[in-house]
Amino acid sequence: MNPEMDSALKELRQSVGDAYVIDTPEDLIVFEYDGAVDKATPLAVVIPETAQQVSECVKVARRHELPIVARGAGTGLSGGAIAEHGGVVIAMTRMTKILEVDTENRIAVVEPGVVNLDLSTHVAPLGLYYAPDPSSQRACTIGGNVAENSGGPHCLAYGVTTNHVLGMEVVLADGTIQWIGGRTRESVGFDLRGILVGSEGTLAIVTKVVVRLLTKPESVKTLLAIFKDLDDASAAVSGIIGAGIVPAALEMMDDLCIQAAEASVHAGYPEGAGAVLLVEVDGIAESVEEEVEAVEEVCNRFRPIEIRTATDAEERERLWAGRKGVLGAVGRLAPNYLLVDGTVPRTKLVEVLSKIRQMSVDTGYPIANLLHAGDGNLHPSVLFDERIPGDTKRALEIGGEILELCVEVGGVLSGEHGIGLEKQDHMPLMFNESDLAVMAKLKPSFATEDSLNPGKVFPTGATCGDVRQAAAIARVGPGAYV
Amino acid sequence: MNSDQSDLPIRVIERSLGPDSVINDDSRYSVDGRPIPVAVRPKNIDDLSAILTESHDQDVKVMPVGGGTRLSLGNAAQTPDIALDTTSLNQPVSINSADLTATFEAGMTLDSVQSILAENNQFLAMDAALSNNATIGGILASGTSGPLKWQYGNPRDLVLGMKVVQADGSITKSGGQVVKNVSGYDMARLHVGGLGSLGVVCEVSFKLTPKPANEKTVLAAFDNSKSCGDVALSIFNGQVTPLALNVFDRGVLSATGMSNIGGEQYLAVRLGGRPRGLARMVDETIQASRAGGGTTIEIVDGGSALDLWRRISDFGWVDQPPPEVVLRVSLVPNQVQTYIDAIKASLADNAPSFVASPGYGNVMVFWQSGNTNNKLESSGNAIRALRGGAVSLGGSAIIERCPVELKSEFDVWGEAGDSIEIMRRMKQQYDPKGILNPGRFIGRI
Repeated sequence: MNPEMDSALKELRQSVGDAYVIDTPEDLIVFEYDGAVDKATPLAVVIPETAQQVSECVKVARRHELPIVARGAGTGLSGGAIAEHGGVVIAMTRMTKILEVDTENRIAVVEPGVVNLDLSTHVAPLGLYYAPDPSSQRACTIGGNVAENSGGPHCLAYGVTTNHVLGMEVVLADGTIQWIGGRTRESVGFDLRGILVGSEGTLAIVTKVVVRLLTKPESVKTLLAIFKDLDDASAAVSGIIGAGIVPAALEMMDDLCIQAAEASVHAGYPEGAGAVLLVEVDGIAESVEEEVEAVEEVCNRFRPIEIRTATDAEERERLWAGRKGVLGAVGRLAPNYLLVDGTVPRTKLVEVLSKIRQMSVDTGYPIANLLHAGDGNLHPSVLFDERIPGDTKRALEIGGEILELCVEVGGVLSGEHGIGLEKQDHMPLMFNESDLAVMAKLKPSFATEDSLNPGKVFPTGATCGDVRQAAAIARVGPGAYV
Repeated sequence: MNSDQSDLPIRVIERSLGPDSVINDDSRYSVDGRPIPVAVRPKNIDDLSAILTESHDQDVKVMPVGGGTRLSLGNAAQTPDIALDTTSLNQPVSINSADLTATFEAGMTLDSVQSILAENNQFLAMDAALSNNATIGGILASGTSGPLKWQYGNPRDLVLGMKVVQADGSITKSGGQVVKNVSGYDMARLHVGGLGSLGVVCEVSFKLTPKPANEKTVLAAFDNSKSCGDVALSIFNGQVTPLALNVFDRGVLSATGMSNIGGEQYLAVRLGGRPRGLARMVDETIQASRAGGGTTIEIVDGGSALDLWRRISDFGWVDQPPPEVVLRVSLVPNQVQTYIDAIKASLADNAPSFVASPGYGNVMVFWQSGNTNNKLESSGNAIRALRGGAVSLGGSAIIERCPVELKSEFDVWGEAGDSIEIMRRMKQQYDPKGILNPGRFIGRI
């Protein structure tokens, strides 16, 4: 190792303590990957405990001109947490304190490493919860959610992360610690808070987050409707929205997902099920009853094979089991799969799904579809086998074609996982050079000098993309689902 | 622009859109009491872009203006050379009711947007004062919003994407037309509440909301203001989910045209839903109001309820003469009533009117100087008391309106703290020549 790096490591150790700097190759392996197709090894991973230490680390990295990547749980699946250009990864593993819960104002102040579900669990006895619930909520962190503006099944009714973050303490690229926003719904000046949420760690590093909490609804009902095909299920979705109902969640799976879920979690879906629709309604009891009746009435118009409803938590968990376990289950269908994250206008779902099926037939690659049908966010999973030469490349090409299709029908490249590395070269599908130039001006506005998570979000030259694709492998652990 | 080039603004418009496009009428557009003699009303986005391209080249200062209902907002600064009127950009671009999304040109008034959406039994979940004149672009740029923010949040939460003309005339877009989107930076955020100082909003894509099947409003009077505040806070922390909830004083009540129902402070709760759910919410609200010390409780519905909410929303913006001082205060919910009681005490001789959304943490304060020999001095003192009260409770206060003579004494936006450096750099990046509303935004950016 060159002396420059040596002295950087020494200074990092002084900043956070010897035990919290990881730099041996065998230890760094777990940090080179975030479940997407890309991999890269950082120089070191530091695990600070305070904003002050984060600031120290940022200053050290800056002095030695090393790039900095902040990392939560690494569940983003878009390569956003990969240290593509080496440098220092700042892991939030030790910044996991829930600092304050203000029940009357329904506010919590948390450190960025707090696991999403842990926050809701912590405030549950107070009758409160944190609304954004990405499917990886058992693992993903609030800091990571802020970086990716994460959604989740319930964002249809309750909005995504940006609608729930009031303020943040951040470390800027020069090491300055600063508050952006605060505890009130509105703050003065430009909405920097809104800009930082979803900026994929490229503008600042979050060290504290003030979030809004919601009152737990007194009643929650889940309805599972099984249809013979996606067309009927999609028509039911349109019918539900058309009836003026915005359910708390509205999820859909196709036959391939159903088979996978059946084989792995034995959800008890009947023979011949071509599509499963999961609808959740919450609120005060009377409203929930009325809405569930209305949803049932709509579903019955589209020849359901079966409708099941759940009223208590246990039954509800059973209905959700197939959906929540599906990605892990899909992982069993093939050695590898590539998860795509486009969003399309809800009314284009049928068209897009039928084209994806055709793609699957034409290419011979199975594609399993699970979707947040309510908000049009679809997650087709392209199944492949990295051991077959050329297979990975082909799967990525199919993923790219699906994204092109999404944009073509008026949709977007990413609903919730972010652009990261995976989709950066697709950005020109949505945005022209002026659009991207305007976005890029945020970096000098935050004076980042491109030291924070460099090389993400914005398109690269083609060569760089080819190199990454060659090394790309899709692997998601069996517990992971989105 | 030098003083010897007084016809430059006219030449800029002539050169970009032809002589017929010059509006030369100094009674029409003004800011802080000073007329802007030259204006232009581009017919489409390309024309708007052409104007800004030329203005940018010639260093001509431009003030974007929609319905002109909130021009009192902003720091005092040099008079702009051209008023850029966006009200001809007034067409819907696409309405996708089955997707619950729609895109509109920014010069459409909020009322015209709502009447189009009503055809599909949907609405844009925001309201604003003077919504028959206020344009959606203007409402977003000024960052104002009405009672519906209790349930639906700030209008920025309804924005899915935007087309903006940058200071140099380039037309750019961000976001999309879907509710869930992390594709690139969320640039629209810069323009909501940005007072047109970084770009001119031309087209906006919104998330739509189905209209509730039925609506009812509960109106309750309280003799004790604290009891009223407590009931509002208990609803905020309970199971009832109002579309809107406001507390206000007697001055506001009389402006709504409601009959005198006694009391000191009032609670209006707008509820919506299917019949059984709505009935339960109405019951709970009535019970909470009664148990909390409400004296007179009434149910308002139909056209009277819509009228009531419109008047609450318009309060302070339609009165003649208008209140000299208007502040928009942000606090955490449980400090709202504390603040209201504090300002009533500190300005006891001449108490302000207020409309508050406690759960959202917003208080609109309206103050008239009344019969005093020194209106300016007393207005200045009132502003200091009203803003100081908010700051001491951890909040902030934007001066929405005050006598022009006082504008040099205050930054009407308040303190941005350390963030001001980032904001200055943003202005430098997006409008390096300072042609868009120069000096009027926070820190006189």
